[in-house]
Amino acid sequence: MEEKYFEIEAENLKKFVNSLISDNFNVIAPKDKDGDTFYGKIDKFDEANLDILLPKMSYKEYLLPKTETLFEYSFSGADVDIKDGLASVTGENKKRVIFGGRPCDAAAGPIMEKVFNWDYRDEFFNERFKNLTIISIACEKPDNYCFCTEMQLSPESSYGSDILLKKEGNKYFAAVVSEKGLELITPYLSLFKETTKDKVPADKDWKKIFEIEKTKGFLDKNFEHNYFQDRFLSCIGCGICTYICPTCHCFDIQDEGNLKEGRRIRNWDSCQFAIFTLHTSGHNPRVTQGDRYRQRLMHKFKIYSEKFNKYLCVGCGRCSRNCPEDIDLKEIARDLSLL
Amino acid sequence: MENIYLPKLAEIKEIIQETSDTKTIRLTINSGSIDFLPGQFGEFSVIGEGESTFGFSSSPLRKEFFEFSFRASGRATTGINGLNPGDKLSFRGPYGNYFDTAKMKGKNLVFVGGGIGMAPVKSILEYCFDERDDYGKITVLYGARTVNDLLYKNVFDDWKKYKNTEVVITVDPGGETPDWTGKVGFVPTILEQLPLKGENTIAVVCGPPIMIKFALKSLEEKMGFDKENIITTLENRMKCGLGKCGRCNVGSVYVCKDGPVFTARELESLPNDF
Repeated sequence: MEEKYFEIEAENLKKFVNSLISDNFNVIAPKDKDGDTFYGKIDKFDEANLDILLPKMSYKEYLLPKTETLFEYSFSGADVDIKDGLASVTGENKKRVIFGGRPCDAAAGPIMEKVFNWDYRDEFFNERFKNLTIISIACEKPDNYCFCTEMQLSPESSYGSDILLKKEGNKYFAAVVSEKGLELITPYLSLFKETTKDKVPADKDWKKIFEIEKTKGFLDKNFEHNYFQDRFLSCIGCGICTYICPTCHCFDIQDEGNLKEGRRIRNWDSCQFAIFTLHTSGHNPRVTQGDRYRQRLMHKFKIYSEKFNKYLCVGCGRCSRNCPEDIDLKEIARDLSLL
Repeated sequence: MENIYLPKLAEIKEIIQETSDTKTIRLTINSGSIDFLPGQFGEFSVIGEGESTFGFSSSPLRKEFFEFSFRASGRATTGINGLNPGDKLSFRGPYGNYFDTAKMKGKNLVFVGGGIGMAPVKSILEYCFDERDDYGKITVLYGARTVNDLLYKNVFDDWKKYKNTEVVITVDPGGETPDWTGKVGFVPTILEQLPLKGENTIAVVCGPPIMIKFALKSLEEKMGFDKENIITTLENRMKCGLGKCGRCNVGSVYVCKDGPVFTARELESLPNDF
């Protein structure tokens, strides 16, 4: 769709979001909780924290929940009855709006979408993705952990968003980049004032500090390099980098229940755990933490990009900000690009 | 909309106690088999105990059942181990690639299996027996640690009945019993003693990693096999079987989608991640 541009006063943006809520949209926004900020359902605009650079977690869980039921089962005598879990996803909530997220988080959706649809289509993911409308706000001041620009995005990228807001003084410019976005605002158009692209402040000249293609170039040739074993000796294998990552999507499948009934569930999993690849025989292809962090780097910057021609990383920097050992992915990707 | 994680329910037709700790389970869906090709695998499960990944061990041309072999070792396989004929088992699949039977046609074939790694070999072997006229000489070399660890003892004699076929069974030194009439020696050692040449011959090799490593070395370096003509299968821990859960990859190759069947040439290009 051809992009459309609007201006909206801060006061009207508040009215718009409050109208969505009163019109029964499920609005998810950065929301303070116990001294931290997480994406969560808001009941009024004022609950949203639009000043925070990034909430602690991304909103990955609205596409791929931490735990979800693939099917339920119950036993009667020798028979087992299976109830498809997809039905509950299809009926799950009304349309969901993510409001006030950042461009990096928005970019994660279409990046994960490829994994869940090559060959076999994962309709659990698709149903959620289809029902999500994303209104992001461009970042003004990325911090030192951020590297979206290096990841072929930018603090002002609209990739993955339906509407991208840019703040200027007491008003916002809204770039509506998808039909879904246009459909969302159409009933509330009186709050918006249509404008043209040339009126919207131009994107800043965001500078890159390294070339991700060179990082990939190193990974292409250096599977056995000492760097991996040396650099990740300090990694304690807690897996927080993967849980907190907007694009890490690896999962486990488990059965949980009792003798009468239960469910088969999909849970977030992590390539940083030794058990992730442990064979029944006791053999493990990835024995050391270096092997496992190398897998994370390979998956993000080489394996995914060979399949889908993009990177499995949006440069949000959460893995680095939250690492108990201060392992900084931006620094690592830069170092590898220079080796 | 299809839920790709939803299993079918199959009925257990027969359970064969292969060794003291391994069994083969024969399944039917609507009194028949399912469409699969030799080398492919499925996700099998007792509902409530989680899924396990197994390659099919029967010929897909035998339409009355499909089968897999397993050793009870974890929660899911212990669950399967407790089942009886008539019980239901859940099943997803078939998944993955398969042996290139078009390439094997008209060639001499050597099948090399070790331990429970014989399961996928049995599928392609019996498939070739079912179309016996399409192939040249067939040599089967199967080995296990001990006599007790040999699976498929009940079908060795059936295999020997096919024309132009040699079946050699071996156990590791020390694994023989007083009445053992087969060979004694490690699989790669016995392999080198067989009158085989690389020309016009395809080798299928499955077994424990250490056996594969040395069998490939024997075939390539001592027996003149081209890497293109040696086919093996990789096993990696899997959950989805659909190229999504993210754990079975070896470098950029997903064993569940790009494998599990690979030529020695393809293996050579993979990083040491398996």
